Amino acid sequence: MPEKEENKKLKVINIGISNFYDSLEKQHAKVVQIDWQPPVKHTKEIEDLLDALL
Amino acid sequence: MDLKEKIEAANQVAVDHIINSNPVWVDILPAGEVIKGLDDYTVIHSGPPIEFDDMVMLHQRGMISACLFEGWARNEEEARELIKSGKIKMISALDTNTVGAGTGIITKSVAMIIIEDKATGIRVATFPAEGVRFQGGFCGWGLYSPEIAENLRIMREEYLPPLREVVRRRGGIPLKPILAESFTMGDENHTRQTAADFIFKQDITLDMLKLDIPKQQLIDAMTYLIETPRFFHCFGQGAARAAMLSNVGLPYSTVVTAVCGNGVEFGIKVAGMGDEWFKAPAMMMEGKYTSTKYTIADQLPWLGDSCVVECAGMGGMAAAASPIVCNLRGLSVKDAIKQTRDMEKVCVTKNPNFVVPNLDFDCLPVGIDIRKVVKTGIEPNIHGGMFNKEGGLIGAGMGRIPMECFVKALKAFAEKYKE
Repeated sequence: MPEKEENKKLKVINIGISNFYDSLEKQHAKVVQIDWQPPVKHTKEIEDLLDALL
Repeated sequence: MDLKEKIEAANQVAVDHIINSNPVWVDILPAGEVIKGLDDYTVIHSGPPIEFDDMVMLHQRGMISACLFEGWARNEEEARELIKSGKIKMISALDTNTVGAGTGIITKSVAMIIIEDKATGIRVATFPAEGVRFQGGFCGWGLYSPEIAENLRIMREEYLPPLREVVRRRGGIPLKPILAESFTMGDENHTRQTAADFIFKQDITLDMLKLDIPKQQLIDAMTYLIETPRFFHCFGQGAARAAMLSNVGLPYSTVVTAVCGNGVEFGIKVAGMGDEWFKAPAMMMEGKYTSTKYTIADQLPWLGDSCVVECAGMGGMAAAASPIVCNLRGLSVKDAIKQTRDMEKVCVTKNPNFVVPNLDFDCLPVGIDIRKVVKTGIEPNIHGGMFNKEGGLIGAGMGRIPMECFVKALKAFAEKYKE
């Protein structure tokens, strides 16, 4: 795919869902992927167990 | 040491057991001579323990096939009566020193590959592939016919004795070097053993040719060896199972020692919890069917113990080593690498024995830690084959071990070890 003129100016750091990174990369935008996802929300019981064991 | 320190220390011991294991193929013997508890009128099956009436049809048919194969019953009706009478003892393969691929039906007279972990002396038996025609008919895919039964006898009496002679003359054949090399050649050693098969078959071919046996028997045995796809799969499972047994009952360890399904429930075991099962409803797999005629309606929830290889850092843990397997699910090379990187987050450490070029020569993760699974919310990936509800293989892909298993295990562990 030819490089789009407007994408030449873009410098993107994508955090999380990698589809956005993939899409920008295909358009030859300068993009860096940061692998991240929101922390899992645990119940109080599980949080206490994890605090005790990990 | 406080509790956390005790757990960390125990988990280090657990992964050291796995990393330092030295699995060697040492023999071929009848199952009853090696598997603990496998006496007369006893049938081993895959997955967590389950009553006959609750079994999926494939397991029920396997139980009946076992009675017919051993001559305990003359027909299906007699076999059912025998089983219902309570005379047939049923053992979960992962409650003893074997592993049940697929349906995992094993009885005392079936010829088994014997693998010994030379680091611990632990011996396990693993069911050999049934050849190109029947593949996993009896043990694996839950099929049975007079031809399959006859093939099992031919395997035991014609094909396998030459292999046994070779391994005995060699004084054992180490498996770890084969596994290690195959990870650099595109295998993840659950769904794909193409490279391991080549290495293994090349290794023993010359010794086979040196045997002083009738030429036709040699040709038949070599044909069985060469034509059987994924021949090395049972060796990988045996190697993994032997390593896992060294961790069963290891105090304070939160490392997983067993994962398996029976088509109804999926279960895990944890080192520090001994032989206690932690179960949840068996999950479905996602992947690719062998034919467009199949849909999810044909598919059975997870059945089998072959995912014991994931406990030892292979299969789904090793996705990066085999993008071609991951591509069955439409994944790219990058996705395959990400899968292995995600598995690192739920494992204790990396195995320096298993290096993968696609990871820029980084090592594969090993030692699934129940605490990390719960903490991260990442359900471990396990690769494998998809079963038709009626029997037979209809595809390959991936399943995720249900979080419920890990939460139950974590709660029980905390209760047992509270200070």
